[in-house]
Amino acid sequence: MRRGTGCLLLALLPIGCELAQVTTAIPESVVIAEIYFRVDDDRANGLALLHRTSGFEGEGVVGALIRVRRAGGKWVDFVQESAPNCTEADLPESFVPACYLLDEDEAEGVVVPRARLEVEVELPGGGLLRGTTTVPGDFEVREPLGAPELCSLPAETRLPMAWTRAEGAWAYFAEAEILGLRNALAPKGIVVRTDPITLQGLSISEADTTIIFPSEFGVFNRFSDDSEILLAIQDGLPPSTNAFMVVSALDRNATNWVRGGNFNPSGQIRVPSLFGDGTGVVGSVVNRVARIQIRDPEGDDRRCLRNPTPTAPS
Amino acid sequence: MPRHSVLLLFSILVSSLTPVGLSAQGEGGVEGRITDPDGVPVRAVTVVVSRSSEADPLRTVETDETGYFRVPELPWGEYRIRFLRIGFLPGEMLVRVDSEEAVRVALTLTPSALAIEGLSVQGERSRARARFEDDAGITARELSRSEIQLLPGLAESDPLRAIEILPGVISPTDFSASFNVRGGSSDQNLILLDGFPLFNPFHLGGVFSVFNADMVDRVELQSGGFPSEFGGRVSSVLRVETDPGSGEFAVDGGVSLLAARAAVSGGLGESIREPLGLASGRWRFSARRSYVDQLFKPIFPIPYHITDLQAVGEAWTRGGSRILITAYTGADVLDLSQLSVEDFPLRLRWEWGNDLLGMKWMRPFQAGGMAEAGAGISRFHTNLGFTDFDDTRFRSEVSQLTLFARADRWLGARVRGKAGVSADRYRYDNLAQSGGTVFAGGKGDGWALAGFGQAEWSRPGLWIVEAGLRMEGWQPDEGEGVLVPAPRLAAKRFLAGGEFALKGSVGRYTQFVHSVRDEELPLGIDIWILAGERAPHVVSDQIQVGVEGFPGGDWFAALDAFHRDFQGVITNNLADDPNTPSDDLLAGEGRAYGADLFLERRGEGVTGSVSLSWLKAERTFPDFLSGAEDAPPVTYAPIFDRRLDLDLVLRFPNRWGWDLGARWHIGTGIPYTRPAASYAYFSPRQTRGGILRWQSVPPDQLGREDPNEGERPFGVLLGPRNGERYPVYHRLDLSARRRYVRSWGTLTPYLDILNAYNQTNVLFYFFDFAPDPPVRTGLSMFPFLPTLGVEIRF
Repeated sequence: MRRGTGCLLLALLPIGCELAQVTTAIPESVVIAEIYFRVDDDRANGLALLHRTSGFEGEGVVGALIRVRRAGGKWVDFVQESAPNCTEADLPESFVPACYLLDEDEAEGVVVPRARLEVEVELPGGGLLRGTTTVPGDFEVREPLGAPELCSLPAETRLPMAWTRAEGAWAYFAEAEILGLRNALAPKGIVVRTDPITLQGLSISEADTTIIFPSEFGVFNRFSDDSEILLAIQDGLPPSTNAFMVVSALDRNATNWVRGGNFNPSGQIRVPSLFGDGTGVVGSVVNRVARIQIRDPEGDDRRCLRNPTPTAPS
Repeated sequence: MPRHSVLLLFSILVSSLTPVGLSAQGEGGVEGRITDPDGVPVRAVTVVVSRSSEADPLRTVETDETGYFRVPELPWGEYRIRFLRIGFLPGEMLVRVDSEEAVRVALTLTPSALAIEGLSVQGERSRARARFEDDAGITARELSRSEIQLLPGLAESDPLRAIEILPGVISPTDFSASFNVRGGSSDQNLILLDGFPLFNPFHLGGVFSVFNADMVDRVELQSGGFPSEFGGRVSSVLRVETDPGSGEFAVDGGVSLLAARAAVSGGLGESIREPLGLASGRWRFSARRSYVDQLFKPIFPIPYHITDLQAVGEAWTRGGSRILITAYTGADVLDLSQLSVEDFPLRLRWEWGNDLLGMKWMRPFQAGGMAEAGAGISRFHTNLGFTDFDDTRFRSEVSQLTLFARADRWLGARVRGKAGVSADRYRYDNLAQSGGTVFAGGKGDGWALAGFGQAEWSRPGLWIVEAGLRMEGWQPDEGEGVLVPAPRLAAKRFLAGGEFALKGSVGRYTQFVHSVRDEELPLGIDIWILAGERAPHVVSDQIQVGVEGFPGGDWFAALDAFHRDFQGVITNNLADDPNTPSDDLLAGEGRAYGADLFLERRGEGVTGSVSLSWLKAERTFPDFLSGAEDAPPVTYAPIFDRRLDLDLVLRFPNRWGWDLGARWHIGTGIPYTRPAASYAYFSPRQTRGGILRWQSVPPDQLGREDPNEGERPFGVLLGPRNGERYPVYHRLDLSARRRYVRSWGTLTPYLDILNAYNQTNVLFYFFDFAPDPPVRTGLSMFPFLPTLGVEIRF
């Protein structure tokens, strides 16, 4: 039925036909550098992933020199590490990017809120990329109470998250990792393929410092097969689940790289912030975390909300 | 081209056209008004003047909306005047001109339900002649209802699709009836229904227009050289005029693969006319609705339908004033909200449509000309809501309240004056919101106030010079007001005994509304915003020169060359600073130049036209994709920069009992941006310490059995903006109609075939650099697409 309806919808549109496949010219080999500076509650660090465009993945990105300094300050260097330190491990075998990290000792005093950072990437075969980023300002989570410590929230209750402004932030990206949904939703017949699941929420502009959990999370999953899960948690999480949340204040560069540019049928377009003999992003984020467990907060002094009220079913 | 150079060129053109053979001795003229038996003026009557001793027409003019015509400066002598109008028996009279005073005549035409052999042909041909003799600098081409119906259409005749055959008109894709004229953006076309604007007159995101061809009397596209009475858009004016019928009861209906439709017309009975003080009244109403959703309802749901309701009424008072009321409302509804999640994961309701109500009052002057006033309101709205996620909303609304008054009268034997004022109240309200975040939006309103004056001096058969000034004022609710003087000047010099003419025009045009729709998407809905703090207003200086005439018999030929610049065009800034509300649009400039050749045959037998357009258009904007904080400018050819465009149209009336039509269209490729390479698209996961993830689409969503075969997204690095072009586009469309006359009326089945030889025209290329070697696939536009339908009239 579902497929039939989809076909009928398509039939409403005077669709064209697929063109025959032809081989095309070998693409350009371009270095892609993705460099992020991250300020957490208790530490700061940097991560850089270097790879190349399709067909040239991994070529000539090992052995690069990556350095950063506060404007006019002393350069500190990234150190090359194995790829799993930068990326999740499910990459295709043929794809071998180069990973570089700036450890917290080197980052101390350099990667701090409101710092303007200059970055240079010297490529092993010659070539240079340059970029700058301004780390967003510090901020703190107001709700849930007691963040970053674990707090308790009643089941089926929405949590209005709120935080203070991070100066210079272009957007806040809130990411929640929710654990326990597979078992919690199984009685309703809802299949949760992965547990934990990760959902994202978005607040645009420095002044937009609220988001409601979990109803305003998953904006990018709403029209996928995950929509059934999202519908089930619109009014709050079920019992016996918990969530780990990170609110990230993003600078201009990270925001531009994430949101991309205008339409092109061949793929996503991203707005770069690294320039020279390659392209990429040098972005910075300031993160604050919150941890929630779903349980009756009665008598619990770690409650997330002052006066939690279970959400009326929508 | 610098502005002073444009003016200089124009001055040279005008000054080089030295008038010759001017003589006023022994000349007089004829003028008069044509009415029907009820005393109602009859507009668009072709008045053909010839010497009584000669068959060849000497002069051809047309009655205006007040039924008035004027043929000045005829040498003394005796003349035969013929009056031609579809729906009436031809009229004829002999007139002697023997003084400098114009001879005044009055004629009552007798209606005729029967088609007069050859009258339509003569009328159309003479109408083109009348325009040639009356208009100074404007480039206007029109299509009648019968011409529109003989053009092959997608499911049914479409007046907006039909104008694609006219010179200077580009439609970048098959999927949209949206069009571009002479290098202007599609939002720079003013689309008027009976003189009132419609913002987004399209169904299905642009596939069909909202106009029911049965209701249309004629469509006129003005593509350049607009006189000062026109304002509001800078690229073109498309005038769709509704046919209010003859006053007799009649029904036109039709069924196509798209929709079923009916138009009913009639007259006002005496019991209604008498108390209202009306001499006559006629009306026409039409309804159109797609039916496939109802047809298949018992079997499976089709959650989409369109509706159009249109009405027009025209009445003449006993005092001789004309009142016109026109109305339209239409909607597209895509309703997936009734489907279960199992049937379709996207439960939404999306509707959009236009509403228009307009009223005009017109009073003819005794000695020609008229006074006119009107008021109307036009609105476009769209609303997209999600059943399961009510915090996700997309809506857009724009409205325009129009008030105007104008007068037009002869100020002397050779000078005609026009003046008018208008006030337009615009309002818009846009919102795109999800998950508690407003991704885009804005609202505002503003007043557009305009006044114009225009003088036209003419020496029949020798010169027409038209000079005018339009003052355009704009006061938005936020931002500073502007006042733009917009001078217009046009001249036409007749040559070769009035068979040919050189013409030129120069003018400034302004526009205070923009659409932020990305024209590179083949389907889409215009989202309108107003000039003000967030967007500049458009100022366009334009010049055109041309030659046109009648090379012989039934042929008309015109060649125009033009140059236009556009200051204040906008594009979306997708790298805008969310903390700065005023930077989400980027102001830029544009330029276009080219030439349009139009060759047309109207007459007996095979008719048709050839339109050949050459265009070079460009746009310059700050390049936000560069990522630089101070974005450098990028100049590129917009998607509607089709360099060469040829349209060949042939009509074969009554061939083996069939009316046959053919259109062959060929155009050079439109530009696109070719990706230079692709790369793995990583996203940081902050809950995992900021580690990067190349997220694969879960394989079970792709219906694949191998769980390791998930598809990963790629980013693309772009080559030069619109630096490549798709292959040459060409397509042959055919239509065949056969009319069966029965005692109760007529039945006309038709067959339309789009892309008769199934040419593969490229809509998009998809470049995939992941395989070795890389590959390119894509999507084509319309394949071979036959449609059929039937029309009924009784």
